Parts: sequence; structure tokens; C-alpha cells
Amino acid sequence: MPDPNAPLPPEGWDATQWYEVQRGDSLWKIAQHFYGDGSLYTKIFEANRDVLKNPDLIHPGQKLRIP
Amino acid sequence: MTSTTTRKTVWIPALAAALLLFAACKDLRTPAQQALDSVTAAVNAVTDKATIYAPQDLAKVQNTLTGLQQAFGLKEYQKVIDQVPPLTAQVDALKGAIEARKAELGNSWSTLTAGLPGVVDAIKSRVDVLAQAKKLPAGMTPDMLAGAQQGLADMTAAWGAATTAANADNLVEAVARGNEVKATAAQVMTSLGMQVPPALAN
Repeated sequence: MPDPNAPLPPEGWDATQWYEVQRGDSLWKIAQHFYGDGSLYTKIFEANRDVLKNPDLIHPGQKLRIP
Repeated sequence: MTSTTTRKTVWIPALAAALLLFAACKDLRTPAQQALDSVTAAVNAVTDKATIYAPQDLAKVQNTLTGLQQAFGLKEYQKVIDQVPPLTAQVDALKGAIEARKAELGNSWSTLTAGLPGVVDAIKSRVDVLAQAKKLPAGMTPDMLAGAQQGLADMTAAWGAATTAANADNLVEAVARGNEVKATAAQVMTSLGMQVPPALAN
């Protein structure tokens, strides 16, 4: 989970990796796409605990951090 | 008698001239020595910093100083006295060049220190997750992941060296090493299929 107290990076330096949820996506599918292994979906869930309460509930248009 | 008088008229003025010249040289030697010592000390005081931040300007100053030292050795004291003030002005300009370069590099270093650690963290995070994957994503081979891991190790080492250089007040080295990290980060992020921040593309 991101540190809310971390200083903001200078403009143009933000290396946060974002993914916008598409219709039909699941965290498993997203993990499969980025990591090649769907079972690593928990990494994405943990990195987005501020916006996700349930790993099975994601919505199109949501922006998720991909660690 | 005539011959003696003639010899005297030649010899006495020559001796007088030599004595005057000797006296003049003796009079000028001390101020020339003092001026040379003073400017030499001023050059020595900036040499360490100038070697790092303005080596070409330093070389010009040192050449001029060497010329003055040679002139002093040749007892050209007036020349030394005349040329010390312009050399002092050159040393002042050198100090200004050092400060300007340090300020410029200080800005670059501040940007790198504010931006790069987050980039390296993002890469480390991705590499760590991929290292746990039973299978890699499409288009990525184990060799590519190994290359990214090596790149991460290189970046960590280079960043450590950059920080050490900055702590030693060598911003030239610090920024050079920081830019190495920046370039490697862009390569590794691309190889991992990550979004590359715009600052790394420059």
C-alpha cells in the first residue's frame, strides 16, 4: 500500500504504474497480463487497499496501481 | 690624464647605473614577492574545487601563474607587479565560475534525488513480483528478467556511488552517476513493459 506521507515526486518523475480496469477484467486477469501469473493478484489487491475492499469487486474505469 | 678621465667618465656612470638598477630591483623584489605569494595562495585556495567544477578555467589561471613565477625567477619584478592584479581578477572570475557550475549541478542533483529513488523503487517492486511468478508475461523471457535484475543491482550501486560523491561535495560525479541510473532505469522499465516517466525519456 502506498505511503500517504511520502513526498510527491517532481513533475514528470512519477513512476507509479497505473492500469484502468476494463469491462470483463478481474484482478486475476490483470495479474496474468502484467506478471504472467494470475495467482499474484494479491500483490495488486494489497497495493490498492485504499480503493479496493474486496479483490473480487473491481469496476471498469477504476485506476489501479500495478506494483 | 685624459685617458684616466675618460675611463672615469665611463666607469662611474656605469657603476652608478648598476647600483641604481640593483637598488630598484631590490626595492621591487619585496612587493613582487608579496604580490606573487598572495595570488599563489588565492589560486591554491580554489584549486581543489576548480579541479572538479571548472578545470579549463583553472588551467588558464595556472598557466598565467606559472608565467609570473618564471618572470619572478628572471627578476622581472615590475612585470610581476603589473600582472598580479589581472591574475587576481582571473581568480575571482574562476571562483564565480565554480559557484555557477555548482549551482547548476546542485539543481540537477536535487531533481535526481527527488525523482530517482521512486523510479528505482517502482522497478524493484516489479522485479520482485516477477521473480515470484511461476510463468512470465507474454513477450518476457527469463533472460530479460535476469537482465532487469542485473540492471537493478547496477542502479543501486551507481546510486550509492552518486550519493557518496554528493556527500563529498563532488556534484559533477554525483550528477554523472545519477544520470547513469536514469538511463539504466529507462532501459529496464522498457524491457519490463512498464510505463516510463517522461523525465526519464530526456
